[in-house]
Amino acid sequence: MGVELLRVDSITKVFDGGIIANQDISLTILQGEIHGIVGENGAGKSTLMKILYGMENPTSGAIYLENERLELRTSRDAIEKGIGMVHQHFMLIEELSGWENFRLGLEGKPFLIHRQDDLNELREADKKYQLNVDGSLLVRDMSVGMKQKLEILKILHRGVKLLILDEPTAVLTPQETDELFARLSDLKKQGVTIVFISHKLNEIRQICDRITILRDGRNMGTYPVGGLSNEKISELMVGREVSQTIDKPFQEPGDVVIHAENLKQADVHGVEKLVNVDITLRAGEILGIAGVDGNGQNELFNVLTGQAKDYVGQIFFEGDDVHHISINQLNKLGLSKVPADRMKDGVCKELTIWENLFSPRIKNFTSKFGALKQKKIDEEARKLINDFQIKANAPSQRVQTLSGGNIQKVVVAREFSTDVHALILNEPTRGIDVGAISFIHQRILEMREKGSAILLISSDLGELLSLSDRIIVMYKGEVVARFNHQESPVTEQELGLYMLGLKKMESMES
Amino acid sequence: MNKKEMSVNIPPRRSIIMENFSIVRIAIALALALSIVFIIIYFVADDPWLAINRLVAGPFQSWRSFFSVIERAMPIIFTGLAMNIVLQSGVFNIGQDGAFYMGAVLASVVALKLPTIVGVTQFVAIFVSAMAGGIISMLPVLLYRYTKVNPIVSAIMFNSIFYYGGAYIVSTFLLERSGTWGSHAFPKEAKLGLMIPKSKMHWGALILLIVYLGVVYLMRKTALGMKIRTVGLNPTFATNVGLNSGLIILGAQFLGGSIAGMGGAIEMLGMYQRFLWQGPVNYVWDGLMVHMLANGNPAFIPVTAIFIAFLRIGSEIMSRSTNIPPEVVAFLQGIVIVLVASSKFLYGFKAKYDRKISLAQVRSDSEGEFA
Repeated sequence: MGVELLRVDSITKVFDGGIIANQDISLTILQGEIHGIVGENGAGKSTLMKILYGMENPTSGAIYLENERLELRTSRDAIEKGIGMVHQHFMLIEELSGWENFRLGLEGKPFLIHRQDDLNELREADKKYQLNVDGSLLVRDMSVGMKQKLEILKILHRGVKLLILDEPTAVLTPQETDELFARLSDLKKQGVTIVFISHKLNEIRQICDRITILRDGRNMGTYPVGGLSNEKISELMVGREVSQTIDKPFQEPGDVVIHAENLKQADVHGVEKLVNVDITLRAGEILGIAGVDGNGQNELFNVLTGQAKDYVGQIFFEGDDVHHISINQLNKLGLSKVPADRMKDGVCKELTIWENLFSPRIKNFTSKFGALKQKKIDEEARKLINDFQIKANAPSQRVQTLSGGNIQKVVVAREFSTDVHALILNEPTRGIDVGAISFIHQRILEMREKGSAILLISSDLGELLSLSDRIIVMYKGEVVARFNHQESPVTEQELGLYMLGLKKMESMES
Repeated sequence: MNKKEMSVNIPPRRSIIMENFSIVRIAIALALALSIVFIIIYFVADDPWLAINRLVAGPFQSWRSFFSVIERAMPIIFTGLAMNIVLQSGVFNIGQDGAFYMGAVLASVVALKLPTIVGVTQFVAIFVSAMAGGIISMLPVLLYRYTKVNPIVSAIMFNSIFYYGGAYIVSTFLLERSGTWGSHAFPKEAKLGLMIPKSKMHWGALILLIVYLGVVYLMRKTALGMKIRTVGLNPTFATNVGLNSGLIILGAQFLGGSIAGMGGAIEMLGMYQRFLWQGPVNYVWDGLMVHMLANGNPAFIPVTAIFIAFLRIGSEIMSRSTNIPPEVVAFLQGIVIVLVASSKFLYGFKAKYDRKISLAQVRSDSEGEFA
């Protein structure tokens, strides 16, 4: 321990179109350690790893392996130099067997394929690293855990010094995760250095020696894992105290705005995404939806905002069944929404700020014959840019030239500036800067005060706890808990138990 | 502190060339292609200076050849505008050739089979052609909606159907039984009269001007144009903000097709004595080319179309007095299109500039945070 294996020297990566993924990142990975890289979605973890694995070229900066500067053009270069990576989505050919996948890309193989030789080679490697991969199986018949181990074996057999695992536990069951961790510890004993990417703090704590925390593409520091509390790690990851208190006056909720009964929805494979969901949303309250990503929150968003009509059950918007109401009509009735993927659903990035601001209600800005009233547009757009503190030169600036936080402010300005009866927010502050986050939080509270009914879906528990009046927890498409947070506050830990499906409230049939 | 506050408000320096890089890029591609053609001419021609002189100055020799450039450009402008609308709506709809051809056929039917009243005949012919063109252009999209047939493939098929269907209509109802294949001659009163004497410039040019201004106004200054662009650029966003994407896309196809159909009618009644197009017409690729050269901006389409027509007329004049065949211009077009279409051409400069700007912007943003 203590000997430097890999050094990353002020790597900056700017993607075409100007998105900055990594900014001046430097870090050192020591021989024989398990090094954790943590950070929120979009913090730049994956980009950094792709650079190390030769899949992306850094805009500036350098990588040194054992003090030798590396020029990585392709993944093949990286493997030759001794850096291997297992991707979150496996790079295996499902229709081929384990040994065929194992053999692909190996150097010095004869022209003709000798099944038995290759299979033996795999078995020998498997014995050496003790991974228990059955190379004679077709990959599609393997369990997810075995596929992953096959990937690891493939990489190790190529003689890598550094093994990068990109969120390896995201696809595993708890038992498979334990098994993987046991194998990783063994590999560590054999002298393999491992970089382990995750955003699950418990796992990091369990297996890593040191961790590096990334936020907004910047390195927030490298620490020995023992010396850091979970609170400190999340503070570094998120960039503010997680249990941040926001001044929120008590407010009695008003009339029901959205009422949904017995919502059910299944995907094309027949997997149930929403199971008997009941939701009542009143004017002047914020209802938070908690849950681990992918437990039906996006489906709920699409159903409530009228984008998905293939649901069973009923949704009432101010008393009217919305099943046959178009998105455009819902807009007019006062339903506003902030979608999770702002670049795809929230804005049209090639268009200008004013076009993005006014596209849902462009009728208000046109003459009888459909001509645009440029002057009125310009005035109102400037007003909104000012009100919502959007950093821009002019309303005619293209949205794609703004920073993430400012793009989100454009979305918020569009959705918050109309006569809003209900506001449905999906991850309204994901991946944007701190200033923009607190600005948007302020605006959400203002909308509550004005009497909008607000539904807030967020994977940021701090945000949920500080904004919500009531909180619902979703697990596998089902509502498993309801809390009246305004009257008797809940804690993050308590929510966690329900989010992970460890607990379920009894009276959830109603 | 003062210094810092000052620096907060200074936006990153932007360069005019880089901000308008797509136009600069096209200009460079054109210059490059022209110089390659000049070099080829230089080595191949017996008298290179004469050849280049004819190519560049030939169209200016006489009023007649100058107007022939405009005449040649007109159908290209029509299809260019048509392609512009359908491409901005996000559909690669090459059914405009079918619309153009059928437009010419139907205009001939109106001119030959209906009683001729000056003014009314022309209006009816153009109107019918425009409606038919609009419907023809919607077919690939409708077929895609109900059967998921790739609209590019079905548009090619529809083009064949309308070429041969149109030719059948002419052969069956309009054909003059004489030496060459062609319809009866149009009555003089049914044609678009000459606008400028001693040339072939007809009143269609004025209609084209009106259509052109209409398209530019539509795409830039109206809500419909904005909706068409939004749907074309980001369909999910369009749905999200409540636009009826399906209807908008169909509307755009109709508008584009009706311009193409109108173009066919005007070309036929303006330039021809009788219907003579036995084979399919091929304007859609010219239309696509001028759309690309105009960087997708309808305002520039006449300029690029006239440029292409200029080169073609110039090359024909050149071939008459030198040993260089006119096909050399096709070669030039090929180079330009490959360069303009390849998104990586001169792309490094722009990418480098973008990186610089966004880094500077992040720095000024984060300074603002702390100030």
